[in-house]
Amino acid sequence: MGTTRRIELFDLVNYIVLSIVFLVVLFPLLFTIAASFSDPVAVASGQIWFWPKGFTLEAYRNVFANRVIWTGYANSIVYMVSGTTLNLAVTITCAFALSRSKLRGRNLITGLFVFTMFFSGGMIPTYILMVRLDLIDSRWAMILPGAMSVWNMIITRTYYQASIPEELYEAAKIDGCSDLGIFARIALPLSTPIIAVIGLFYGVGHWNGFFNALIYLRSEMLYPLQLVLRNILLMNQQLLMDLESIPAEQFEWYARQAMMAEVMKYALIFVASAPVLIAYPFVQRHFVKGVMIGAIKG
Amino acid sequence: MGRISSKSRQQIEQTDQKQGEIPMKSVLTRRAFVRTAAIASVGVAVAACSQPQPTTVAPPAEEKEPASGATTAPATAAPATAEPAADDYLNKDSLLPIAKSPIKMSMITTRQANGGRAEGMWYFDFMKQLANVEWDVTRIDVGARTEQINLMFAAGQLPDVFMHSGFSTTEIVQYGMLEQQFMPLNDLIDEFAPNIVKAFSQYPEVRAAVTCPDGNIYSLPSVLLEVMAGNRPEQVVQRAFIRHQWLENLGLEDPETLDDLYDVLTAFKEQDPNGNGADDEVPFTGAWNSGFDERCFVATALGFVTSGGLLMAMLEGEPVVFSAHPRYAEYLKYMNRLWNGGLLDRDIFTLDETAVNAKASQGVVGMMAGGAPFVFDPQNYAEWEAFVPVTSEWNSEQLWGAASAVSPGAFLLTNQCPYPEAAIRVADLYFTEKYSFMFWHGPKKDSEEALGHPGWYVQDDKLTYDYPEGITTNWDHANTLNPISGHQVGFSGIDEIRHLREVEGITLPVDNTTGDMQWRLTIRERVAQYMQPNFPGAIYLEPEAQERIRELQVAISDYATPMEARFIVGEEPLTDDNIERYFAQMQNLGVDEYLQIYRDAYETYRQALEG
Repeated sequence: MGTTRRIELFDLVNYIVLSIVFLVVLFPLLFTIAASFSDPVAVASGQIWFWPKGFTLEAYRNVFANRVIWTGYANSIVYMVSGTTLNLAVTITCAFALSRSKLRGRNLITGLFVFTMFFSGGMIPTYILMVRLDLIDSRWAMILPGAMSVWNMIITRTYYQASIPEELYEAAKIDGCSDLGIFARIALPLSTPIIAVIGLFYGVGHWNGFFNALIYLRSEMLYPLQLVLRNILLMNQQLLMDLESIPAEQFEWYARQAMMAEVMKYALIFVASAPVLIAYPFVQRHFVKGVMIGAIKG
Repeated sequence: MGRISSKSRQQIEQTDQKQGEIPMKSVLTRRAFVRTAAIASVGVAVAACSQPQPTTVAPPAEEKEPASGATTAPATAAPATAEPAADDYLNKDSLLPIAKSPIKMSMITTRQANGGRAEGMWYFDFMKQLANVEWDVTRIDVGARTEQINLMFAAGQLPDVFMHSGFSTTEIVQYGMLEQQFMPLNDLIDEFAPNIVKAFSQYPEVRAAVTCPDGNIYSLPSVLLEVMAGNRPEQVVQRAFIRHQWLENLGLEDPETLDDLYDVLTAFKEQDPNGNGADDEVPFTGAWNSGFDERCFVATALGFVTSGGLLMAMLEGEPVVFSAHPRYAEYLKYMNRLWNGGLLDRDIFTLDETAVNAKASQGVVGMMAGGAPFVFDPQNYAEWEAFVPVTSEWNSEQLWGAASAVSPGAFLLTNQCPYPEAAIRVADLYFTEKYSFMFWHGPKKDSEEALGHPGWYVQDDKLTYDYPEGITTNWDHANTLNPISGHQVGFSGIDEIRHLREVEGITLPVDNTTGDMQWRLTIRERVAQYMQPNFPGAIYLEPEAQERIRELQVAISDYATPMEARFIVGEEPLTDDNIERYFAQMQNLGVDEYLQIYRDAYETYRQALEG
């Protein structure tokens, strides 16, 4: 009898604490949605809390009328899909190979990979490399660099080591399966959780990535959504440059843009995060199972 | 299934071998391994040995002796890449064309969000057809400008010319003076750019603003012509406005001293000047740590000519550090009085520019610093007037700050430019009124420079264009014709009305009631007479001095800025002890050294102005 009551109290406290945390985490999301539907002056003067004030669709209209945002969206999707595909292809094959204990030079190769995790050339040599490879201002600059993250590869390798016993491979070998066949017919079908997890990591990384775009891309047509977002939001700051000497027309244009940027800011944030928000529940199933993958060995 | 024990595994393998069959697995592995390794090593060898493709317009690598007359090679350690003799290719008979036969150069410009594409711009057609210069243009987003330019310099991937890229004096000293990646322009200007020479002699400030401590000129500036000529002083004046309508509503005069100002602001707060019965007036607001300067209202009353910020200012013609000067305590005391009287917006330290504009447009603000009334209060801009500087018991002269009309860093030649003389001639065009106007507004319609592009024409007494599809304002349209990004080379800020009258012979009426004219006229009438130069924003420091300044500035600024806010809101009481402690701490942070470095630099600047 006493035990039941204690557990209920614990549950109650649990629920309360979790609800508070939930609200704290939910608030920014609610605020963004509310602000995106509100009157710009109300947003700028900080009157919005949970509910839109002065309901207007102006922000969304501006966002969708902006051609650069559409190309940014398309580019982000292209980079995410093609980038993640390349990432997965490279990471999973590499991890599978390195997970086989019989691979010659396995420790050496893994050691070299891990070395690159700690030491890298730095931004400028990488930039020079990209220039020499003629990748500046091309889509490949967004897809090729960082094609394999050693970190993710190690997680995948641990997954293979932990969840697929060597005996399975041996049994397949006895039945006459080639190495490639072992990978394609045994390991790959069993890797759904890890593909989901790693795919999500890479995918979100691509979707949010803007730094590579910032330094390697010059044409507006190639910009991903995050960079477009940054440019629009930065326009506020442009007001601060050469304040006294710019012509009045330009200044007025800035001020108008700044107002519009304020309006579009929240709509843009919402539009930019929407795909990830939508996709996550579907992937979450695998994610919950997969996130512990690297933790348990043997 | 149980584990196959190692013993049985061996048995299996031995069985295979015994039967004379080569174990399929081992052979396949070994052969495959060797094969792959061979292919991989060959691939690596091929990739490593192939020649890298250059991505920029690479000038020919051989050095040629420049013709004796043209002293184009910089007298520094930087190797001059092959320069065809100026006499061979340059057209010296007329301003245009620049080259006798077409030449190619590469340029980088920055681009605002509404900047058009480089292909199809009138400017580049003009250059190609009328000047014989074909430009290979790369436009960088102004938001990514600093990162990309730093990377370019570090990797050595430079264009021939940088235009409209807004280089700061720090960058000019670093990349020009120190690293010699920019070409010194002194001799080039003297020999090939008569209009620049004329501008230098007419306005010595222009020359002083671009001369580095080593005596070389590494960049060409943006010059606000109308300000230099005295026509449009409002372009550089500190912009502060007071809602004159409220003064009239309450029957008050413009404040003349700090005490008057206090009374006026109190009246704003208490007497409901906007007549709506609600106590919603905010007498004094602003975006304190960004945008326009709110300190000038009080600082100028105390005698400081300041461009905003807590650091360098001018007092009685000498540079001082505003927040380290004893009189700064009076500023703090007065601001504290304003705060205690409820006359400062409670959010003044946290608002940003847009929020302030939003507030102003609601008709509740009495006094603020901002771009122009028609920008922050478009409905009621006529109610605003420029703030007339006030005096105080410490200073009886009405003063107001004006920025410099010259900003360097608008046009730079890198040391790999193959045709520096041609590049200087291009820059020279910008120092003529005719072409400078054209490189902003575009060509006149159907003129010989129009080259098939729509030009401007006069209709209904206004300068107008046939906007192509999707363009709705003059500013957007100008950006499709020219690669402008705000840092115009040469003469900028030209008054169209005056230009059309004097150069084209077209007289247009001036409408003094537009929002754009309103703020100009009010500043011209009420404030321009009190203008005094601020501490120069573009001042050149030797690299070691630059380093020292950077270190000191962070420490000093990080202390002074929050202390200012705390003194003003009363968190830190303004007792004599506290103030002494504050000044002592400023001394500890190296304010004297900081000031001395700038004083020396200012001396150099003053001498360059006079000499």
